[in-house]
Amino acid sequence: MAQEMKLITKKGFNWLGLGFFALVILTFIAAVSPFYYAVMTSFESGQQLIEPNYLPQLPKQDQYNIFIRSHPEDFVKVGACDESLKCSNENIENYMQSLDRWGKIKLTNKVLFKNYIFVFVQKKFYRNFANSVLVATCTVVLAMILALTASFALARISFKGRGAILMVILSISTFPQVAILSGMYQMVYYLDLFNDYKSLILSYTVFTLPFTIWILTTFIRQIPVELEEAAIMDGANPLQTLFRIFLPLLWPAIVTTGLLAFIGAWNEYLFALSFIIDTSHQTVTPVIASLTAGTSRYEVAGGTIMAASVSITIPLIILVLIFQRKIVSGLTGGAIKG
Amino acid sequence: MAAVRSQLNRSRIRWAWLFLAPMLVALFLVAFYPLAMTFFYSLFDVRTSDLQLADPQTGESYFFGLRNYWRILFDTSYPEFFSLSWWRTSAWWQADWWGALKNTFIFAIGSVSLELVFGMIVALILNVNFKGRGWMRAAILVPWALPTVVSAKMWSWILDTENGIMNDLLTKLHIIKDNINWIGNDFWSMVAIIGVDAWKTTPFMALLILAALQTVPESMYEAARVDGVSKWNQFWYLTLPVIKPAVIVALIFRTLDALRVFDLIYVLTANSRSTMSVSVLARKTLMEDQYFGRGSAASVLIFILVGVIAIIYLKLGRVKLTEGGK
Repeated sequence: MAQEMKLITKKGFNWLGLGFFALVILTFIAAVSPFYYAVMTSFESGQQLIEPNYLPQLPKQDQYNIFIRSHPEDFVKVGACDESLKCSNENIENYMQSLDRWGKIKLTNKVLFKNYIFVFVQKKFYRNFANSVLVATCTVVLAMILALTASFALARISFKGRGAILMVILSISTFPQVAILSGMYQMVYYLDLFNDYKSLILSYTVFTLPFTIWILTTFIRQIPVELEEAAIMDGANPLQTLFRIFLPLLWPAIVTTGLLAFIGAWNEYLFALSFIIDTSHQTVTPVIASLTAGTSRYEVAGGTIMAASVSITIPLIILVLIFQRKIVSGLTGGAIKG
Repeated sequence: MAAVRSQLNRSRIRWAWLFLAPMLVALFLVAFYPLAMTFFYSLFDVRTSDLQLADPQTGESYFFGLRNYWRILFDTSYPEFFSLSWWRTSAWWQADWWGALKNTFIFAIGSVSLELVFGMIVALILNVNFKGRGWMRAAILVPWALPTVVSAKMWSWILDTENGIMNDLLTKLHIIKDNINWIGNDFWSMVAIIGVDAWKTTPFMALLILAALQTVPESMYEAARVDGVSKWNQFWYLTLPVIKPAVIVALIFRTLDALRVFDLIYVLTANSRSTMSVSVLARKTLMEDQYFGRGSAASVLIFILVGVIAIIYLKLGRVKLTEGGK
């Protein structure tokens, strides 16, 4: 196993290796291709959307025509459309032939990013994006504040009931979300928090807090006891020990758990759907789930939905790839040692 | 010295409770209080629009006893329930709950077993040393990183009957002749949901199994190689027993997760009866049908269901774990 798997070895061609690499490529395609297809779709419009394509394509003439016709007032000055905002195919073609290379590239980009512009500008998706950032950030901060001290106590101080508390926390992480939906709904109703992002921060804490505590507790247990003993000798109380000695060592674990909590809050759907009715206050997930409109009446919604989906996913994927190792160790450490 | 130590301990225990207090208060607020309220409201005939426990004019209580539960389980209210003729004539098993329960179990069993198989394969691939392993590890994180809503929307676009690329691909490969209605057909929509969930959760399973695989000491394999043990026997008698406890933990978590599935099914097929899970049913009763009491009763039933399965799993898991230790 320590030996590297190669296609061509000293003994010649490795048939087992061929099968292995075929499996690797197949798995790679299975993992990545659906998202590749989503990214590709997000740049398509018009006829291209309903034709199954496997490779990215430049816009066709009909997409330019649709694009120019949907913004006729922008194209009156250049002669693609006349004063009554009618754009004939002939005028459009004449206009496009008159463009220099740079002008053509600019127009093509506008057509390519049409779905993104539609979603973010017309549908005001940036508001939902901002709501999600706010809710997820506050959820993470709240979970961290509550979990840091609690995990220190659970990992480092032995007292009666510690095992019970850990069991309770573990059992909360298996709660079906729908089981607290109606109780939470009642709470939100009486606190008058409908359409308020605070209702989401409150309800997301139920799933972020347990695993945050779980992972941080496992991590704090691994910190050498000598460090703490030295602090106690110096007369530091547990609060000082936690913040002066442990916190600097805990950053990797805080980043990991914070990221996992952020992803959890960012992806949550059930509570977001139930407590926020007003579109302008919604987070990204319910908005994407309810998108049904294409950029025009005659267009299927695939392009706009994929544009919104890709734009909320790209930040996550970048974060996940940067912190790959930390996330993997957080995911597996929490579950295996648990 | 001992006195100082015990005094120190006592002070540390005080600190411990001080440290735990905010977290315990928060957990009470967001977990136990709502859970208790769900149970409380399941005993009343409450409407979601006003949440009144009694008639505002007459003051008459809307207390309903267990009738919400009978409604969910047997599609009847409580008095008929005791008559023998009702049992003979009623088709209580046709209540939405039983259909949803069946769907939930089919989904959980299908999805968890698929992801166990694929997760094992992917983990074994990643455990081999080859060029491009880092890329592969990054690639399999992509399905995991996608929000469920996005993955559902993406797949519903891929599986679209007319314009979807899946039907196009299968037709070009001569696997199917006519387009499959993945989302609309009773059978295929369940297949699609299980497949999409397995696609999304396989990475998690693979990473857990991989972490376990890496705890198998290399010297064990070397010893096996020297003795001429075949690859398959190495896997079956050496690798599998070592990773079994971790795999069981992963299975427990994934099954409990699958039993409460909501997002994927709701976004892909909305409230379609042929794929509706118990969570989708509970939310529909609560939010769309506006039966707050009845919806709460369904939620309590789901809580009990998941709880019982969790306890069974933990018991079985512990037995297995000690066996593995011998």
